[in-house]
Amino acid sequence: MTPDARSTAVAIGGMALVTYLVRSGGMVVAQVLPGTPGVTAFLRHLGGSVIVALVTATLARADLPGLAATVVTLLLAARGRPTSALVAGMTVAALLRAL
Amino acid sequence: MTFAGGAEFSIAGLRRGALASIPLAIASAVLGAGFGVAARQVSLSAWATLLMSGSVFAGAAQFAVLPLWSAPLPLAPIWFSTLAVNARFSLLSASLTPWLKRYRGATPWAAAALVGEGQWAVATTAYAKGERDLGVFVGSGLVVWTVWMAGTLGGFLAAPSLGDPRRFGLDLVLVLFFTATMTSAWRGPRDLAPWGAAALATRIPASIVAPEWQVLVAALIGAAVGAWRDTRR
Repeated sequence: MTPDARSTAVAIGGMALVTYLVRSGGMVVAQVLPGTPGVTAFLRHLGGSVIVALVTATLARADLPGLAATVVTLLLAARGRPTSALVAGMTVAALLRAL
Repeated sequence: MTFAGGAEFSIAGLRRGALASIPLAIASAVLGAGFGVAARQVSLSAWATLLMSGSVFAGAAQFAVLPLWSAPLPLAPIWFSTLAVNARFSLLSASLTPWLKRYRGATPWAAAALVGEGQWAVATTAYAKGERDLGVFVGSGLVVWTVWMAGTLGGFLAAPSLGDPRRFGLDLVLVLFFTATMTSAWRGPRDLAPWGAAALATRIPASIVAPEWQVLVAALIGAAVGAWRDTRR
């Protein structure tokens, strides 16, 4: 059944609030942390680690065309072509799935 | 405008950020289209789809709640899933804090609303090259938000004529987008230890770390390993 407009708006409003709180919360926490070399290095490594963890966690559930697409995207993006990398990856997956 | 410590926020910065985001913008538009298609398939209405993309602005979390979308809406699971999937944003904004904290008033709070992987990568790449104008991050975020909305609308409108989006690899847009972002965030061999640790840590069994917290825990471990390596003498 399709949810009514009111509960839909409440659900989305809550999602937006939660998301803004985590977005701003990281800044609040990082501001009260001491600026020691260890903390600075930790903050510097956070972003990249987030993205690596996202990719690895998703790949664990991917099918074969998905894995092949990721390898193609990785190789092309490493050559500095992020957009064609994405399109090429999707194309590879589409072709493999059409077989 | 100039803030403490020579930190700037200018129109020129906004433009530099926007221009540096062109490849990212194309990817975000495709990602938005993927979400528009997926949302329509679970019969979200047009306004709800656009409201979600506009106000939540977080692809992974938006995809994650779609399977839950039927009446009566399970509010607590929807919000909890959003919290778990988006918790990683707190790490991205924490890593931007050395830059954000030079600004006063509403500026850092408004900028925080735009945090996401793509614009984080654009901004930190610029920061590493000496850029200190926060306009670069905001400009990138605004471009991504705009094309993300346009993509969402386009995908929503095109959905009925598309059929199964898996045929076009649309279900893979998110992971491929993150893969491309990961490559542009690579700063050389010194990233190997933290990245390897983060990747390995996603293999921690679900009995120890629940799947929805996997990314957050793995990222914290990766950053801790990087910090330990950097400060050990």
